[in-house]
Amino acid sequence: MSEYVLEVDDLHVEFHTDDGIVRAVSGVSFGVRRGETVGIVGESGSGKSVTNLAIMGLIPQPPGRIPQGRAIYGGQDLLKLSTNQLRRIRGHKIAMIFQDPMTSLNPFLTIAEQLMEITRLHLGHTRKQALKHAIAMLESVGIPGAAQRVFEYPHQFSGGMRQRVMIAMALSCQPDVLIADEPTTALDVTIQAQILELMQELQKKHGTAIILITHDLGVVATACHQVCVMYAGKIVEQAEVHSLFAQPRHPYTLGLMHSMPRWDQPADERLNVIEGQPPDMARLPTGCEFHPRCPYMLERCPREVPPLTPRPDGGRFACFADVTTAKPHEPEVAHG
Amino acid sequence: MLPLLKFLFRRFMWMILTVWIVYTIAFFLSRAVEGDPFAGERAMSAEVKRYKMERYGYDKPLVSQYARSLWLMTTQLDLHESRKLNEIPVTQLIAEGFPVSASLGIFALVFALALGTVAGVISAVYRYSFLDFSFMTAATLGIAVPNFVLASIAIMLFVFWIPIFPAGGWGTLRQLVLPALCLGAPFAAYIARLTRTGMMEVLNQDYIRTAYAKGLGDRRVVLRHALRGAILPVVSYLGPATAGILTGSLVLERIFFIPGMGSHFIEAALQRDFPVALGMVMVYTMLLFVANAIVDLSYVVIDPRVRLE
Repeated sequence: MSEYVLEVDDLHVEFHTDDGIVRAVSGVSFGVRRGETVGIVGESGSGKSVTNLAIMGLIPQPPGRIPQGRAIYGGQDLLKLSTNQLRRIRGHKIAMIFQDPMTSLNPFLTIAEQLMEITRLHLGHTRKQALKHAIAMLESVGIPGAAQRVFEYPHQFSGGMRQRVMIAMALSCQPDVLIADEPTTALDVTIQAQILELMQELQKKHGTAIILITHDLGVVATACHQVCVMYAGKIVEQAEVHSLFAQPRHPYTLGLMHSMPRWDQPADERLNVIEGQPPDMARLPTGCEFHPRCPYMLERCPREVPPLTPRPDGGRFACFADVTTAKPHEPEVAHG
Repeated sequence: MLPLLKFLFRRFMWMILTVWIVYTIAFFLSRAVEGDPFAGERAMSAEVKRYKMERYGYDKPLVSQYARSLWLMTTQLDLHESRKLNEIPVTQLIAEGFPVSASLGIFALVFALALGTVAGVISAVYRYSFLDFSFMTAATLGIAVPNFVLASIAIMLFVFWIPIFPAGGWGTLRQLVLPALCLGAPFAAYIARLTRTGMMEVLNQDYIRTAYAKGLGDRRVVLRHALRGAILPVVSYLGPATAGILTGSLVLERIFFIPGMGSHFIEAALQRDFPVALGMVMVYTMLLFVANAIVDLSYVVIDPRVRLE
């Protein structure tokens, strides 16, 4: 399937720490098409951010290392490019926005300076062109009074406005791929919805491919076309968004969905949770990484690693059990 | 403009209050210790001593002495005469010594800032490398080695082995180089360490990751995105450092025969030359105040989040 704008293939990322080798990402593959949003869901430490930092070449090496894998963009393997070649792609063809808009903008520089440097670098704009473009970008993300506000500093903007600025900055050069790392996590709910809507709107206009990293299934349901569920550095299930929500195949996906609070749930009812703790990435369990917490665990799970197998509706999942028929039981490790 | 004037006015008022308090404390403290300006090696007849004490008003009650000298200082800028140095007025001692110490200090400070920030930035960018290790070892030595040792080494190297600088004296630029380097060295070392720490902290910030994600190169990220934040600790250190460096150094002025005022600080106190000691305290207090005000102003220039209030 070469229609992918960006395709990650068997990516491995490890960190050498005093605690041993931490395999943050092991064998992740996925692709994103033009105009499509791929959601990457998982707990903290499941490797979702590391995957995307690796694509951008933003993993500090050492302690990081990428022993294996490819990230194909425009016929090139991004992981094999030199820093200088990669710099021409970063911010230009593949842009990134981060979780915390409070700390992701430089507090010492005006919005104008931060927006202008990117188009002057990649598009060769003059100061005048860059400023005009910066104002236009701010207007397109819905910042009122952009022509004046462009000369203000980040601390003069609210959180939601700052994330709009980040989006304007990321989209300045009309990138093919936008990687959004928890773009709405630090914002309050109404602003979250606005930001997601804005991203979708801009995606429709420019056909940008978006990789949306989140731990919020609600965000996935509203904004994504495809979903990858990550656990302990691996993709455990991947599917089109509707079929994933309709029929999760992996016990972890199922657990995530059950632990979402529902509006029709009685207020005094206990929230469902996935038992146990996310694994220590330096000392992963044998076999399937999820087996100590899994209510569908079979005898072979601690010994064998389940391969990614096709779902009937086109996705993939990695589990020996059939959660559609099997009955859940108490997981092995309860209340770590 | 108005906030600036208000800021300066308020700072000025605080300075006057502080100077008065410092003066009062220094006055009574200096009189509280044993001895008087006339307790020299040569025995002085009781007659002569009594005459001298009367002449300078030291026989009067302490409070009236205090009131008189405070009155003279505020109304006529008269700080009395030195009791030891041929009765030269203290104001004249300051007027002669301060420009010398200050120009030496400014050179030392510029040298310290240039060397310190450059070394600190390089150390932080190439952290844990051989270069970083060498710079930080040099910086630790620069802080630890006393300046008379440094001065001796400098004289040995650049006066005797490679005779490119004169051994001492005052008046030409060449005579200024060695003492300025020796005076600035520990400050350069400290600034280098502050810059390195600040830079490492800033380089871990999210907005630095953003800058790299935009495709900017190392040079631009470090110089344009990181340096301003990294330099803030250095700026706050510069307040007290400037006051200290501009008032001279007894040791270096002795070694290099420089007619600065660093020696007055120590000698006036040791010899109970009350007017000179008080004058030095006043100069230092005001310098510290001015330097700190400049530091606060430069904060506003460097960090847009800081406001004059």
